Amino acid sequence: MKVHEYQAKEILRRYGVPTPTGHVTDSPEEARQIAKDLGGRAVVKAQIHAGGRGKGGGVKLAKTPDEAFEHAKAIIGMQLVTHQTGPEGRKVKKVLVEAAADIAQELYLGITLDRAIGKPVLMASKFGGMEIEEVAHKDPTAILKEPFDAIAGLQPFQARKVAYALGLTGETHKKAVPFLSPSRRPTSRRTARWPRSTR
Amino acid sequence: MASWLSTETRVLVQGLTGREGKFHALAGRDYGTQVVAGVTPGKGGTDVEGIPVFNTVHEAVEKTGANASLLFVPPPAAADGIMEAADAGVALVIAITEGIPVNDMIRVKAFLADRPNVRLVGPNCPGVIRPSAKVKLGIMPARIHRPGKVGIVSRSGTLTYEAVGQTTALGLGQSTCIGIGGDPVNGTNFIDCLEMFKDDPETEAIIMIGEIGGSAEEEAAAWIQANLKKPVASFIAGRTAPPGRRMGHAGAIISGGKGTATEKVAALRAAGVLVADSPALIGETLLKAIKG
Amino acid sequence: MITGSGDVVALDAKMNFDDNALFRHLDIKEYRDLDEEDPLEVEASKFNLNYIKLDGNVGCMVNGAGLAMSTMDIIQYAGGSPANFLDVGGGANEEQVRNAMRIILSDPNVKGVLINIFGGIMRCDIIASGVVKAVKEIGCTIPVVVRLEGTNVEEGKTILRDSGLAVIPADGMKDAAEKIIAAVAKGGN
Repeated sequence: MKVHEYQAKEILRRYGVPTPTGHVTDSPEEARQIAKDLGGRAVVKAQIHAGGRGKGGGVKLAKTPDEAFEHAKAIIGMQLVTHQTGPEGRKVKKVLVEAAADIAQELYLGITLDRAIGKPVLMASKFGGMEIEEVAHKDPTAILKEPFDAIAGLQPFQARKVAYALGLTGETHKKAVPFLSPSRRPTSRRTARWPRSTR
Repeated sequence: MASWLSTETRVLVQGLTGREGKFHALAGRDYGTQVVAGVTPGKGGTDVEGIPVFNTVHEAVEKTGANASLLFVPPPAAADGIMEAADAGVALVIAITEGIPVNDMIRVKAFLADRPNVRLVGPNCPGVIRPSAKVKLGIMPARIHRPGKVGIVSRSGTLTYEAVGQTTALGLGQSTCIGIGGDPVNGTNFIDCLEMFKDDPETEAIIMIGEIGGSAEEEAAAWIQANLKKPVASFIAGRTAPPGRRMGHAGAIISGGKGTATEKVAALRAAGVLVADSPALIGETLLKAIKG
Repeated sequence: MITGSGDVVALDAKMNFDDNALFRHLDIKEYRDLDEEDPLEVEASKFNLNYIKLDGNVGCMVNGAGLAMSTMDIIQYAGGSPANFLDVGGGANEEQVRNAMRIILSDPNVKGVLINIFGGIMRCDIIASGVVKAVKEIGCTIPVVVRLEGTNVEEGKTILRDSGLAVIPADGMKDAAEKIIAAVAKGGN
């Protein structure tokens, strides 16, 4: 079962993984208010179960709350076509409005099942923000793989190893380790909510 | 080494008191298999058509000398059942159950790593049958099988029956047929079965049926090229499957452009395996492989 | 991502959950968004049927995922195009089979149906009576080819024969695929 980005981030926060502040909505007016609460600059992101949303015009940067309103108005209800939706596209019902991030570097992280060994594997790459399948195709060595024990979980030494391999040092390295190997129990209650409630 | 089944195989059925467990345990007994015990926690002391039921696998093994288990336990408790059988020293565990969480199977794999003498087949599989010994541990319809010389290994249940039906119709018959199951994490893989077929005097030719998803077929192709002299025919299901959609089996999915039928067919052909283009031609393709 | 001030933050997130494990995580199951799924697939999942809609015109009902995929393959091999993947599973009951038939027929592209059953855990008589009930109920007007083999096959064939319905029997997958494609072609589409 797939979930939306805003739901996945809700789960991440429950385990203490930092995400940008934001809120999901189906109304452009509310998008304007959320952007205003976030300080004006915000990213409006279409919530559909498919990748490649940016290229298809489903992710827009708003410099002002009014721009957030305009972007949300354009995106909500559009048939968003990406390489994963097929030519008919997917109708967008909700947008996530998030504080615009100050991005110094984008990285890629993923956890999947390594079928050959029957264990989960952490995958990491310096080439974030790109189609990871494309990265894997062009240069398989650009993706680091760290299999780990499902019962013991990903250990801090493994997280350190991956963080160093990603070129992270100093304070950033220290922050990356708990990010890669977060608590195995939720740090907040399941009922944890976005800063503002949906209804 | 020969087939994992013999006239010495004594079967206990985990989940014997359930509908499917009972139906297939009795069908196996009718075929000639020694079904010596059933295990259902809480129902120890009862019996199913004369087969005694025990509360634990340990007790069943101790009282009946069972050395193989056929498991029909529902998904939430199935992994526990597999580990119980392994812990009781049952050498061969055939898990029929479909829908076991992947995480449970990862735990089972770790548990079995400490018990190298236990062979798990499945889960989500039709089981194993050896017609010459009249031993059937599974849900396959017995009447389509004939004792013979073809070893069959498959990720798919009903597609195995298709290959069985075709080899029976061609008069070749089967030595041992193994369904390894359609889950992404399972006990026995293609190579385990091919190794057994290689050394099994009853097996003169092999059919290997794969499907989209993962890379087990590619790994098997490499092994065949390096190790196997017996003729092999193959079929790969899912040539028309769209990427990114899980085709029923948890393991049958083309993701990130990997695991396509085209790649698998190419790997097998490069290893000298004859691959049937249509599932209706599996038997004929094997005949060609036998004739060289 | 790494921010300008050196913080590590999850900028985007995609997650996919094991459907088989959702029974243990009802909080995550609540996240399911039915709007993102094909309505026929949602309908099928209510009856524990494994259905995936495709673009062709030959509907199929099969037991077992591998055989279902191969049935799609052989339809294409014989010159047709499958309208769906549908695995009725191992222990399907009459009710599930009836609903499977109803779901296949509710796809307007479907011009013919191929039922391919090799019964192991699935019994042919159950399939047969489910199909008969569904066809009678819905009043199916398009050709239906049925290939039955395996457990309780004779009982299944008898049920179909005695039903008085115009289902076309087939022997083997190849025969079944060729018959349904010929029947669909004759139907004018």
